[in-house]
Amino acid sequence: MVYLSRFNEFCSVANAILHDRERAKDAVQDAFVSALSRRDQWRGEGSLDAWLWRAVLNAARDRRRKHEAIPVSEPVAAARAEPSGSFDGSAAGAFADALAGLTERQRLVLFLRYYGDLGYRQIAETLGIKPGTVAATIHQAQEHLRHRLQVAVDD
Amino acid sequence: MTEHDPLVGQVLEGWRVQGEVPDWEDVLARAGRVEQARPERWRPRRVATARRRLYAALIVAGVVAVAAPAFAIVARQLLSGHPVPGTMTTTHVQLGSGRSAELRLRSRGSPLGRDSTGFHFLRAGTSQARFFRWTLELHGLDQVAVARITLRGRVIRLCRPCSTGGGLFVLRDGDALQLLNGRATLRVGEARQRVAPAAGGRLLGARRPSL
Repeated sequence: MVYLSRFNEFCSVANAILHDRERAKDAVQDAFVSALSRRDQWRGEGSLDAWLWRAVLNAARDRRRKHEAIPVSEPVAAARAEPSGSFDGSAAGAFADALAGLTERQRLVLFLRYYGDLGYRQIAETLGIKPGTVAATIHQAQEHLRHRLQVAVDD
Repeated sequence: MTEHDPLVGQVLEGWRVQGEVPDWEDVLARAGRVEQARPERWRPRRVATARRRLYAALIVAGVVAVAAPAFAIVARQLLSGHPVPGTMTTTHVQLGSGRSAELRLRSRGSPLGRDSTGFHFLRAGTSQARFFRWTLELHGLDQVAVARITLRGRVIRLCRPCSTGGGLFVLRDGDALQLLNGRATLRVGEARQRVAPAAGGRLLGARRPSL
């Protein structure tokens, strides 16, 4: 069952979007409640995984929109103040700043690739873009992060 | 994620979630509540369908309400053949030597009333007209030289020469009333006969509408 087997992956992506572990878990729950209630809308076109990932992304982004008046800097500030994972305090700010410099699509592609271990085709299907765009987006995002983090390290 | 730069991986690893326990029962319960509040998606559709049917019924009712009177008028014209009771009269003419002719006149057109004084048009003040369909039957001969109806100041030639057959003519106002009220003469060949007063029309009371 996708929900049980990939629950932590869903939560990781939601957490990367929300920077709040509890809200991330809630978002995943919301996503599956919504998916279950609207299961008749999935017509078997495309993979069920992509449909569920899309539900999780939408739920997390909805929560972010509703609960934050979101300047991009706010999750960054939250990350600085309260690192939720393995960051140490000094690295957290630099990492969050680097991520904040990415576009929304670049962040989502990275999250799905890194946490969900999705292939380019699955990411493309989830986000409604072409697989080639996924590859290019990942490349751009990595270059950006390397550059930003290198600069941060040099500083 | 081997293609990721270790540095990038380090950035993302900070938000990785591990050890969270999924709660499928919570999902089922909440989804159940959602479905109870909004059973599947049939309710909105059913409401929408019912609303569409209601609108369609109202439209049909409106069309019927508007069209019915008009349809009744047209149907009366089409099915009855005439808007008011028609008239009919038959006049026999003896031609001698056992031969005879019979003229049947049927009329329809502007509404007629009839009282003790005879026929009159119901809509005074406007031009009235009646269509007369005539049928001539000859008995004992195949043809006559002429058949015509003479009114005061007007002659209606039906045919010349004539054999059994029919036709149509129109008379207006007083001319029509003369013929209907028996104040006309039919000539067939050399024989003449007063046209019989017509029967039919809408029988009214003794009062005749003022002109």
